[in-house]
Amino acid sequence: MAFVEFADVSKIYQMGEVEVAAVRAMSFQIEQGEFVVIVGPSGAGKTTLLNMLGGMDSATSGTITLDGACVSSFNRKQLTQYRRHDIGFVFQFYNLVQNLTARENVELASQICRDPLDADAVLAAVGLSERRANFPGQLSGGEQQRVAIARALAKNPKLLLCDEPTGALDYETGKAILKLLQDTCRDTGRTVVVVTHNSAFTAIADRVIHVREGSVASVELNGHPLSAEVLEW
Amino acid sequence: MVALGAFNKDIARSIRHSLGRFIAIAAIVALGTGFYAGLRMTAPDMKLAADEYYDGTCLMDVRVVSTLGLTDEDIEALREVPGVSGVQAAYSADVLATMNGEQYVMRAHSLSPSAAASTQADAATIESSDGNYLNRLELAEGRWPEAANECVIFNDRVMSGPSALGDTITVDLSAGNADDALAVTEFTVVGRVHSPLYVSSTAMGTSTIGSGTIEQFMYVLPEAFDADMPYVEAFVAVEGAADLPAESDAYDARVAQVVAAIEDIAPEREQARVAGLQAEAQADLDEARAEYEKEEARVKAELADARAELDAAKEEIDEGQRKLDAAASTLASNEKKISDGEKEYVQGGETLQKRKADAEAQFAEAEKQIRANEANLAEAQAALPRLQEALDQANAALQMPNLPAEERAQIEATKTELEKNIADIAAAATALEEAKAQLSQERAAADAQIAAAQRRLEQGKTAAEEGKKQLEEGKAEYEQAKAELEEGRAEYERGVADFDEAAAKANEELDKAEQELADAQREVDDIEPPDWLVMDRTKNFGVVSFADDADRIDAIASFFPFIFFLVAALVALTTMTRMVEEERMLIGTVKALGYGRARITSKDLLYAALAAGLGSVVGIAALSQVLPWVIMEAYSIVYYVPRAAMPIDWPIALAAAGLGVGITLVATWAAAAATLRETPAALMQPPAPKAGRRILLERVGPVWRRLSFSWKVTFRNIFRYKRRLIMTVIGIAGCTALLLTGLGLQNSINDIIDVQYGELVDYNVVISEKEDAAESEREAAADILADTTRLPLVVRATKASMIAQGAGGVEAMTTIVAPADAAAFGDLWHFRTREDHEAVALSDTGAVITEKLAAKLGLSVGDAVVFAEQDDLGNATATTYSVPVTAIIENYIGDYAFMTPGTYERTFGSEPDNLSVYARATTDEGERQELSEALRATGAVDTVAFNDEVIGSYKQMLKSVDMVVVVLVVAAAALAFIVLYNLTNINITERAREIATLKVLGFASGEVNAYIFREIVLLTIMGALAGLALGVVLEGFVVVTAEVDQVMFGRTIHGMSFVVAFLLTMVFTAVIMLVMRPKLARIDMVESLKSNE
Repeated sequence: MAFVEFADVSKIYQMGEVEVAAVRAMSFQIEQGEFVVIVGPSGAGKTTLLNMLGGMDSATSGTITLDGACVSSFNRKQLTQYRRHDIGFVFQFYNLVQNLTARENVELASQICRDPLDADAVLAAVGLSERRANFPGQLSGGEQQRVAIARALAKNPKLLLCDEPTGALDYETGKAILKLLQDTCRDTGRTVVVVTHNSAFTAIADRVIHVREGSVASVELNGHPLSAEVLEW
Repeated sequence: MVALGAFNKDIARSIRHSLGRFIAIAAIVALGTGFYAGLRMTAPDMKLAADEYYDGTCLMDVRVVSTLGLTDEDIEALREVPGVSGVQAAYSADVLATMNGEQYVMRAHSLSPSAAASTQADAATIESSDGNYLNRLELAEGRWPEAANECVIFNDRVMSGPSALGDTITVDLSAGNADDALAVTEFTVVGRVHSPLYVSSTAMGTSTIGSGTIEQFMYVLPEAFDADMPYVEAFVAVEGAADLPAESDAYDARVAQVVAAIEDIAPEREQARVAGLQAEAQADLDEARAEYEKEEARVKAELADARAELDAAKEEIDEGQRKLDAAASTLASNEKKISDGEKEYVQGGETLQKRKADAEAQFAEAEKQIRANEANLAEAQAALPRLQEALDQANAALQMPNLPAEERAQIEATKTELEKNIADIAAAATALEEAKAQLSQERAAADAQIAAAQRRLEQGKTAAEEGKKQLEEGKAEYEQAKAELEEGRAEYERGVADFDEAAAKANEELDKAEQELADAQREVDDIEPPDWLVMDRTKNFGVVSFADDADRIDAIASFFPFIFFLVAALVALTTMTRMVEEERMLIGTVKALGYGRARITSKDLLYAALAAGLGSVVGIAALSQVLPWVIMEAYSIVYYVPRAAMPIDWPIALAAAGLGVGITLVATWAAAAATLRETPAALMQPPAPKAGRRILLERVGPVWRRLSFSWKVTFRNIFRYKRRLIMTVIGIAGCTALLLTGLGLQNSINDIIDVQYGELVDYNVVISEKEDAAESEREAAADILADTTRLPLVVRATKASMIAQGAGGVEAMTTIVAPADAAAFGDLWHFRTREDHEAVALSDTGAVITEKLAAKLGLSVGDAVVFAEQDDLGNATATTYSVPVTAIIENYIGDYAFMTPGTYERTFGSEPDNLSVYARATTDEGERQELSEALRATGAVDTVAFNDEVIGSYKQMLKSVDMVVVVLVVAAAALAFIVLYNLTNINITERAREIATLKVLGFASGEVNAYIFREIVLLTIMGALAGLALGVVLEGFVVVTAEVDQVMFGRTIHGMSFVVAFLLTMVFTAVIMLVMRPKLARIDMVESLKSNE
């Protein structure tokens, strides 16, 4: 069985009397340790997909499994535990707690999970040892995103989910972040899923899932992904 | 104005979307304005209710009392005074009345004859056709008195417990000055009334008898009063005064005018009264003198008669004595006679016997003689023939003529001799016969004589015996007469003694009467003109006390709502700041579209104005009714003033609304101003997030390191948003302070009873003895007082009422107590300082005074306190005494000065009378009753006052505070809810992203709640702690402001109240957290994180 499996997953929003399907009968699989890029235009349902996978949203129908656990059947509490222990999230806008230093933001996550990584080590890994005592407001966007990634990684999650992690960053910084994510995947064997509208990113992925209008258009495996360093868009 | 239409829609939408926020502003403004308006309107509402009640019952505007009573002419004169529209003349007297075994100081009033015909128009209006019927009574229960022995009493909410219709009131006229004021002393309660003269059931007025305060009143028919009594008082209604609000300046001016007019006629009336009284008194006196003189004459005549009678008796006795003496001498002479007679008789007997014997002897002799003579005769006779022969012989011889002459002669001689012998013998025979005859004759005579003598003797003996018997009888008679005489004499002597005594007494009495008459004459001559006391309503305890309480509320009202307004401003500021922040982008857009700054601000201002305006309207409309209602309801336990309509006082309402809206608008403007200064371009950008900052606490490494992240975040957040911190801390502080004020107020009032009667005072009865009790009565009372089973501890003391005077004309009715045994008294009344509980002892160097008295007079230890004596009406006289203060002691009820007997004597120059007895008696109700009845039965005791009654009436007061506490708790809760709701609301909406992040990170809902609420709890704790401090100040202010005369409220808030106020605040917080939890749970991770802020 695959590490992650989406089987016939739909997400339908009730907008008044109209039903809007954000995700419709989506099925795909992801293997452990893969660097996955889910790509598609705005509104294709990729964020919804990610949210369901991350346990932030539940599917209307279909099953989602991660490492053998049926996430789609989790209740709220189980979802919380799932997010807590199995998932690391990285957002476009970092979502750091402004009132905590970089290190504290990492610790905020690590203090609640079972087997956290050392916050300083993680911060060192993302190259922020120097700035760990700074508040988010004192950091650049790239630095903030690194903190966000460090925070996600510190939880030692099974799955690192990134929603447009470079969306708010300039080209170089974005590239550096992508590299960080790719390296994380390569070095730690952690499964990383990146959602983006930028199809250029597909080049660095092990697996690319194309999403269009709420459905999986195609899934392609990339035998020779590029290093993020050499990626250009 | 199409734009404005869109604008309005935008506002409406804003309100709809942030209803909670809108309501929060509206609610806090409602609370602030409502409390302000409600409290400020309470005093006017109370005064209006009082005014309507006073007008509706025609409460007198002026009361005229004369020290010598008022006559019909006086009343007529009063009616003539310009501005007087009605005059009611009335009798009254203060009496000690016993009802169901309880003794009350009761003022008896005469009931207007018009009362029975009056009708009750509404709660505050009594209608009567008699314009002179003032102080109209409302008959609450029962019926009007119809006979002189019926009465109606006060329908008092406090004291109505122990009496019922049909109960009997027994009036003791001997106490006080009511000697003969009432003609009836036993009354049946037939109804209960309310009198506007007594709107307060705790401040009914002072009296010179008993405990010194009036505890009940009754109305009886005028017939129940002594017919000869002048009117005691006249109640005057002032024309047009009813149209003016009571206590307004216009009213005061109108009444003052009439008071002045009455005072103008007063001297004339006073003189007239003196003249009238003098004439009357002189007439009485003259009559009395005539009576006296008549009596004197009668007494003197009676005395003279008695004297004469005595003299006659004396005469009689003397006469008797004389007679007795005569009788005695007669008796003696009779006795002598009898004894003489007896002697004579015995002698006579003896003589008789002797005579008889003599006679016998004589007879025997004579018989012997005779027999001898017979023998001789017989011999002679025998010799006769021989003589005859011799003779014959001689004869013969002689015949012989020659015989010698010699012989012859011889013969012749012999013949003669013979012849003679013969003749002799014949003679002798004859003589013998004769002698014999004589002898027998003699013997017969003698026998007869002796028989006669014998008879006489016998007679004499009988007579003597008779005499003797008579003598005995006479003697007995004499003895009796003598005894009788002795008795008579004794009686006479007694009579004399009696007479002397009676005469002395009569003379003494006459002297006394004479003296009395002289005194009376002097009194009549010296009758001082009476004083007319013209008093307006400010001399009525109930009226003044009610108005004072209204003013107290006003004083509190001027301070209390301040908290609400402050919090309103802070709520508006934080809320509007948040709102402006949220609409930052929109503002930027609108600004870019070309709207002016004013127009844009106007949206927020309008929003705030709408919220504040709505809040003001709702708050003022509701609380301006509710608060006065609650407060008057609370006061209605003590005051009987029917509630009138509670009109909205527009100036106050507008001021409140203006304040409320104004504060909100200023806060809004302040919140918006900063944002509006930014350029549209900057506004289109998300705001620079409020940077995280290190806080002071982080510098305390050891503490900071120990904190978990949640706590670190909490602390950082608390200090990140200072406005919210201030709003919350002040708001919660206000809440806790209100709670503490309420609870503390309750403590303070509870302490009056609990500390006064639980810790300070250890006696439970005060017994006052009559000044003029007889020695035997006093002893009977002393016997009961010495009974240690009934009264384990008894201390005598001297009690006096004086007016203590302080600087600036401050006066305080003070009870002076000089215990005979200060040490023993210390067991009944523990003297101590309030703060340190340091024991205080009486010393001979000065007086110990109670705390409130010291505070009122501004005295401290070492100062001298000045006491003035009071006249009958309770006004200070010019006679003053001064004594140094040696200590100030804790005391809650009454103003007292304690001193040793020595100090008392030195200060007042009079010897302590020790007529009051402080005692500890049994707590058993029945035994107490028995005790007080026994004491009163001795005749030496005036009043027996148990503490229970005082305790009972204060407990009622407590109930009125309960309502206030409820209001305060509700206000506190509202304050807490609004502030915490607002804070939580802002925190949640503002930090939705942060919360969503936490959720995404996998924080369980409990952890997310804790993350947000920890901050609120911490702020609440800070606020509550600050509130406890603020509460102490606020409570102190309220307690001192609300304090009534003669009573000191407790000054300590109990530890428990702090705990309860704190915990209640926490409970409010917990409730808000429970309410807000769903909102926190509803925060959607996906939505919140979707875009940048």
